[in-house]
Amino acid sequence: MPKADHSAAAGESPTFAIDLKLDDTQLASCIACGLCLPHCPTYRVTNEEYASPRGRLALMSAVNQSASASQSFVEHMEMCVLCLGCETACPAGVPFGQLMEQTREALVDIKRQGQRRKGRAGRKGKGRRRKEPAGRKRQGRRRGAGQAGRWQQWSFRLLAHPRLLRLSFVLLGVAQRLGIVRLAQRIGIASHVKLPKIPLWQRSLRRAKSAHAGDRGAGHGQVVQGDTREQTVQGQEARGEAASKESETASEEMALTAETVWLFTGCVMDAMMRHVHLAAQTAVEAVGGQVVLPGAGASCCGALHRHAGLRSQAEKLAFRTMSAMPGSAPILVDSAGCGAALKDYGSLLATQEAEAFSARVQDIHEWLATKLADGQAGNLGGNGQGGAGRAGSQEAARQGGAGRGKTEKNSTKVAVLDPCHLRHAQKTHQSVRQVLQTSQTLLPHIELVELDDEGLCCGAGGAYSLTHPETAAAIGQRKQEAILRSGAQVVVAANPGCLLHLQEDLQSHKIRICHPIELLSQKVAGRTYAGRT
Amino acid sequence: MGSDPKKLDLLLSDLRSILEADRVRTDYLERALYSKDASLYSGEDPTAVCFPETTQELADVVRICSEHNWPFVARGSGTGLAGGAAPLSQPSVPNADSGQKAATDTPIADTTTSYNSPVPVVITTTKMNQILSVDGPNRIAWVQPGVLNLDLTRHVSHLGLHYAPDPSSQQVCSIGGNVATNSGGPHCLAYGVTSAHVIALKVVLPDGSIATLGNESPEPTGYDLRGAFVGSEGTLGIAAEIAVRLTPNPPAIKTLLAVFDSVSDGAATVSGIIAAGLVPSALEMMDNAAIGIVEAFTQAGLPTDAAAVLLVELDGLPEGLAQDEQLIRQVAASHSVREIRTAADAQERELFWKARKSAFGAVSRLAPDYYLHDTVVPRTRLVEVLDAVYEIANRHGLKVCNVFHAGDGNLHPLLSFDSRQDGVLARVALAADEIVRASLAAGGVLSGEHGIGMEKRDYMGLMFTAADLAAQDKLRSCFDQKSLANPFKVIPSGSGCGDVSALSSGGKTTSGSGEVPALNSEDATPLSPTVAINKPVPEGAWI
Ligand SMILES: Cc1cc2nc3c(=O)[nH]c(=O)nc-3n(C[C@H](O)[C@H](O)[C@H](O)COP(=O)(O)OP(=O)(O)OC[C@H]3O[C@@H](n4cnc5c(N)ncnc54)[C@H](O)[C@@H]3O)c2cc1C
Ligand code: SF4
Ligand code: SF4
Repeated sequence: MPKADHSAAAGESPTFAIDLKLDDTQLASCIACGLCLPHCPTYRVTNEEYASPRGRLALMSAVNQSASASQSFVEHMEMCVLCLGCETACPAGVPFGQLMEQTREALVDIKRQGQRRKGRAGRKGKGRRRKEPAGRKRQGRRRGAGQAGRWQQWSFRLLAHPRLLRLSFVLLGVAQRLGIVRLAQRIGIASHVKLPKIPLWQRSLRRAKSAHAGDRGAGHGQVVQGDTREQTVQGQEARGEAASKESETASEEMALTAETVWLFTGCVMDAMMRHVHLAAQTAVEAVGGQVVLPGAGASCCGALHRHAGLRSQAEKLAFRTMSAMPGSAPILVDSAGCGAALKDYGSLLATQEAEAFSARVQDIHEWLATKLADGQAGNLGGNGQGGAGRAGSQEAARQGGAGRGKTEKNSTKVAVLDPCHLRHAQKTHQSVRQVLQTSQTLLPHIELVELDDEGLCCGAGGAYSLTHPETAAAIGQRKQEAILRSGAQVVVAANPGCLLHLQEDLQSHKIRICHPIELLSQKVAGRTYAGRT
Repeated sequence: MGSDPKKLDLLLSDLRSILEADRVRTDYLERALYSKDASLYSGEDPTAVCFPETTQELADVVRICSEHNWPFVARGSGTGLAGGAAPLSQPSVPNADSGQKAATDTPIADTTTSYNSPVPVVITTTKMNQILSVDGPNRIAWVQPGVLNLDLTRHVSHLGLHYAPDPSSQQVCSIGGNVATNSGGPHCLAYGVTSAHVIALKVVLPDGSIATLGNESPEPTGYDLRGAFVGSEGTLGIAAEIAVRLTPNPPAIKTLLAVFDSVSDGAATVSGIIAAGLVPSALEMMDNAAIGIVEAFTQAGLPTDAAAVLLVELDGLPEGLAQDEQLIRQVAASHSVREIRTAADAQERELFWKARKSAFGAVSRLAPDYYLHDTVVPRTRLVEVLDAVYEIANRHGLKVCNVFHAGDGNLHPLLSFDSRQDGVLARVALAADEIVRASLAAGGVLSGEHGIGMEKRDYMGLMFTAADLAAQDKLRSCFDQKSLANPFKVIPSGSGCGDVSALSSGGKTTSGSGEVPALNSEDATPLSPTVAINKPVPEGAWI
């Protein structure tokens, strides 16, 4: 038959045995209608079937049954951003994310086996430098390391160590400033990786020395009000250690006032964008809440590990994170990717405890939106002069209502970019709009505009922009075009990955990109994150 | 059988002299993905998959195929529902389940027949996705064939224009695929199907030459070859550039949802509306089973206890709309309508349409596989044929739901089943066969909009006489002397009737546990063609 005839002549890649252990019924739920294709970023930039959800599912299905795969299979699986755009689009309810994560776990297992049996047949794909399958076409560049390659596993480990992580970032930041990074890239080291500018020092979150009178949970050094202090790398360490020791005892007493919330700080976000946490804190305080910081145990949610198929590491991090934020207080997250991961602990660990934990997790906008809807607008909905409570919020509603829809002459157009993990994973993207709209008295000069790409991924995808820089850039290019079409001067995105990924390109168009919470909190008088009072 | 490796090497190296290696894919897993479209019909794994980007590249690829006497199949987004884009080296690809042959009136043909033809190259237009020009004042756009239907509408929306044919797959299907299948959609009731919106075409003929069919002038002279090409399902050549008509957005739209306690009341309302002289822009019906399924996915608030809902859309000037709405309410009331809802805003309208358009996908919530039928019956006999459909499905123990373009009598019975159950495919095939026959008996036609492809090819004899078919075949050979363009599609190659044996196992990828993983390992075993080819094979056409 033709099939056999062609394989030799076509120079097909060698195969290796693999058991994906996927559920047939789940795979069979894909009816190949193709409705997901236009919602897949990798399909949009390649227009190739194997870079589409339908194609990937068919490949998984084939490999699941034949128990044998090839290098091309590995590449097509690794190229998926795991943005879950396809899940939202799929009328048949195919659990794509779950199938892809399981597939990657099986691939990691194979790689590990291959590493053990060095040089044997099963190892063929590993370590071979291979080409990124698509993206900016035809550049013919080759690169190493795919999903959970060795360097990637190392760097993922780093994520769970805030001190080391911050130190590496500082070193990288210094290298950037001394031109070493540019030099390295010029001679071909990581030459297509786009690095955002790394801050050398960051302000710390305001730490509590004392709490308000009458507040329970006071005196635990964690409940934070008012005081700001600049912080160095060491400062952060101090915070981590102190906090971790305290968190257990603190939590018991923190059968907290309704307004007390944990703020999950995470790894890269905390190392690179602590100003967003500060802004979040400001926003929470503006509606009368109190922020509690978890200890170093909650230094990484494990999302990147899970996406890369490193399940056991992801599980370990999940356990650590959960024990760092005990009690029943809501857990607020200002990074969509981390939020999605925390909300998914229930299914990752499949314990009641994990489920209960996940149920407490909310994206910061989700939480703020409910507060605002409940009339607790505080400084956010008010005139920014400290007016609090219901009166403020009613005024906000009135003024906001009047202001909405009308376009002021000199208003700034703000485009809301939905991070995939907010829109497709958590499905809470509307809350960003709700918060920004309800706070229109604070932000009277902004006009919210929508992008016309139906929430197509921007290509950041956790570590994706590092593992697949060309495809990520091509996807980012589409997003940038959508932003330019919208005429926005400011773009808000509630996820650090998207911010870092698009920053540089948007800057060249004089478009500012920031976290929605930054926009809000800058306007809260007396509590700007810059610490000016 | 099949191809000689040397000849294959020569073909591939020629193709790679035109397109860089990246765009001539031969990996076995990658090829396997191009063996089927969105239907249950599986073809064979193509010899190679080519991705041209320009008209010239497309022409060069086709020319090389022709020089090598190698067949080729055009492919757009692969959402076809008739197996049109599935490559075939022989009339059909039976699979393991096809032991039970559906139509009993054809004896199983000589299983030793060898077609000795190579499996076609798939030429996909997905990278030819540029909108070449938009002429707002004259409302004409030239597009490459891989442009997605909805992308075109979005692209011109700022001009107050849209591309009217709107198949339910419009977010993903390509304009080239629409042209090739002459696609329809809900709004084609008032605006006409694809052929009414294609002004001119630049096509690559099967020998690799480029020809322009039709032109932008309002009254073209000479034979309407454009008309012949639209709906030719890739058998006359490949559309490389397409001039489409753009339609102004209506000044106002009204969307009504009428709820009925019986299907026949709904159907009678459809006839009544048309009889009253109204042509709504869309007139769509869903039965109870369909309502339940789509409601689960869209949460559009449809009444899941209703026997049928009718989605009626009116467009035009606001004053006229109010009158038309009144008329529709009267007609519906005379057929015991339970209630009529009006979409409050654009958002609710979108939700209604999302419910309607996601039905085919959402049906897999009922059972993992579906078989979607597409026949047209006279509007007056809708109820009768629907009853027959329920009876047929019932008798074969299959679930059926109906979502269809009621306005033009285009039925889409959806049979849902689990292909992993023993013998179910045979039952599906039988039921499908009976449904086609019932529709034809009621004076209907074979296909409303999904095309003939593999699916309906062997039913053509039920509709056309031998002389009709011979004439069609003659037209085909005028364009394609060597029979290289999408072979074994549309025109039956022999006496086969109702050959549904190409139903793959539920359209799912099934594969044995062989050494070489194959998406359809059945393909790897010699096939038993069920239909004998009696068309003379041109000299040197096959290797
Ligand atoms: C969920 C769903 C809903 C659908 N709803 C509708 C509907 O409402 N109305 C309707 O009419 N159809 C519908 N379809 C069927 C299908 O979407 C249409 O037939 C569509 O036009 C196919 O476009 P495609 O780009 O996917 O073509 P493909 O499936 O890739 O190809 C279809 C045929 O066209 C040929 N072809 C493709 N491109 C070219 C070209 N450039 N030149 C020449 N030949 C070419 C192929 O060879 C093949 O024979 C639906 C399908 C699905 C999955
Ligand atoms: S998760 Fe995103 S990138 Fe992966 S297949 Fe789905 S849509 Fe494509
Ligand atoms: S939309 Fe869902 S069912 Fe359709 S092809 Fe994509 S994954 Fe499969």
